[in-house]
Amino acid sequence: MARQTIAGLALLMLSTFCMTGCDNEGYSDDMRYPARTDPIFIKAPDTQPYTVDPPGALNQLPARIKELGGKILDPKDLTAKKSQERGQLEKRLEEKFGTPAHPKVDGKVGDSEEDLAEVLKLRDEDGKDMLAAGSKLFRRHCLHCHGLTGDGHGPTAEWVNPHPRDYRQGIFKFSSSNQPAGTRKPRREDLTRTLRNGIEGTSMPSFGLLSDSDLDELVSYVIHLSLRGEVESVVMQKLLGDDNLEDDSVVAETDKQVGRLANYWVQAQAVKSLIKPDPYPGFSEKSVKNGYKLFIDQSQAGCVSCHKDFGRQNNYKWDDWGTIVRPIDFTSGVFRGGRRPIDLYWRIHSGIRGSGMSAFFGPLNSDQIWDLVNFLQVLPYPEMRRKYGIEID
Amino acid sequence: MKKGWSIFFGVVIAGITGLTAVSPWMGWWLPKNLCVFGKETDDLFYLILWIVTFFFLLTEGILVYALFRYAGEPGRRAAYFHGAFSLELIWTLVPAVILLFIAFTQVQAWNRIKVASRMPPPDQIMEVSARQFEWRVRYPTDPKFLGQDALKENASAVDSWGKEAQFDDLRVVNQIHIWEGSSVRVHLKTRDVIHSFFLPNMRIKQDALPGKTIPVWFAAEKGTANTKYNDETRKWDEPTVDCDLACAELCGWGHYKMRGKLYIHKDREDYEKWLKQAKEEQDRHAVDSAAGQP
Repeated sequence: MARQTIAGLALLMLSTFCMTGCDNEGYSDDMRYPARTDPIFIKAPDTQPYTVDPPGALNQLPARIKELGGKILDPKDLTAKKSQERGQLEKRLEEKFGTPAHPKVDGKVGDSEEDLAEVLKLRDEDGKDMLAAGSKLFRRHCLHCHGLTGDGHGPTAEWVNPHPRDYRQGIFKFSSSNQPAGTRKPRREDLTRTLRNGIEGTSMPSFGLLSDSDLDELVSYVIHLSLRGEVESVVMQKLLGDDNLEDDSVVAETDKQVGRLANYWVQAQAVKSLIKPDPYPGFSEKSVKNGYKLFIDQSQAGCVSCHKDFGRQNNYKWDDWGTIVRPIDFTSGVFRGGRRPIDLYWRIHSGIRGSGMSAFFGPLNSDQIWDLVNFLQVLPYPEMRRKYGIEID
Repeated sequence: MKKGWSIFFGVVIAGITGLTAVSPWMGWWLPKNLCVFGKETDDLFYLILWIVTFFFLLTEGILVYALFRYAGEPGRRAAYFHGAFSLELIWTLVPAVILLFIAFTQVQAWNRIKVASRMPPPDQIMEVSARQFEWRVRYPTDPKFLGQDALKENASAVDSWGKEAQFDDLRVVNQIHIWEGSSVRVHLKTRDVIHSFFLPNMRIKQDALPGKTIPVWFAAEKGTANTKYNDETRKWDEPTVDCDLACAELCGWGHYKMRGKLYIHKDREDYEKWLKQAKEEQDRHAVDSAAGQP
């Protein structure tokens, strides 16, 4: 080889060291949150799925839902019929929520004069903007699964099951808020706990090694993405459904939805929204056996109707995100939303929004829920089942 | 540029050697050893390092010299060799003997560290279950699994503890808690693919294989405690010496961030205090209405 070629190649090899970079930077300034183009899930088909979607097939689910008789709305229809309104929506969203590199939340809580960012603690006590810092962390740690807009369609998403959470429905599974099911939001601590502990049994790992302030910033950013996504989804649904808009204006409707939806977030954070159970009656054989009876008795909690054979023979179902899930297998000892008694209490008390697990407080009282909690804690352990005379085989 | 390449080579080799030589003082060298068998492992490492360094400098020195001496002499006739039998014999036998020497020298350390039947009786046991991309750790809280005497007495219970989770076990993520001088026995498992349990400061590395439970042992030297209870935060402080747990077998997109922390408590009492506090949190059934939940 000619000397020049060798010299050139050597130089190229050396210069590759300079090209790798070690980036801690955030999104580039010219990036925008892209307008939503994937279908909006409205209603599940009547036929339940018999298995989960195979790896790599996440994006085929909406078509399958439509095929089976479910309902989806396609934002692509807006481009044809209402491109001007769509443009107005995107512009207003950018004004209210900023861009990935410079995110913000601009608005008031409900009809009040309270500034959203203050109330939702999207700025910390020193007034420092948490969202920009949160966006950098999100890009580094979360983007590849949860996607740029929090749509749960990052590059990794289609290869893991359960799929990463799509924040744009504004629905989160694990919440300790006592708001009604249709409007319940998670409390900040719920999101922090998910980050810190991960979700055992899914691909969501623990991020407990990040500092407390990092976790706070991430939580703020996730709330921001969820609010933005839900506002976009709700307004798009109205446009696609030819519904009446506030003051006949896309801008006014968007502002109204921001205030309305943010209000639910704000309500969730209030101290009075925290589910406070009656005092724990303690762990006893009587309680465990009572929990067992409640579990199997169809006229009481009747958990067996969904958690067939204590979870070992569950059927698959469509959830509110248009993906496929099934009730938990209690004999595995894996509890996704947390294994502490209080976590289990919260799940039974208010259900798991989006998954089909209903709220049981009302039909059951606090003591009965504690009985169920005690039973669920015993269920995975053969030795404990023998000790309390619980027969599941 | 005829001799230039050989000079370039020589400078690069000298640079590598120089940088390696100053590494310990620049903080680029081995992580701090806190383990009772760490010295044996490090001694073997240095033995091999010196042998290899000698041969590295010898062979590279000859190479650079040869390049320099014979480069850029056009028209020079090549000498023809049939081969030099005695030379080839020497440079095959000598390295072979050295390799055999290394192989036999390290057997003792390997036996001490890796062979299950030679592991010392444990003071504490734990199960580490690797999964993509975190370390799920299970600690026993039943007194019959705490301390060397209790573990000896209940040997068969320890076996079944290793196989199946118990009702009153504590489960944490990405945290290994031990105390100074405690001989730790880890039951290493994996829930999906091959991972590798790597504690640099304990000089221990063990692949976790799907379907197997592999015993691992190590013990922190006395005086190496790196955490203490903080009365203000009511938690244990972050380790003072950076004691990481890392994954040492490529396991997917999150392999690089599959980290954990090693907390070395100053004594068994402090460890049990942590165990109790963590178990209480796991058993939490009440709500702190003012502050919400941690």
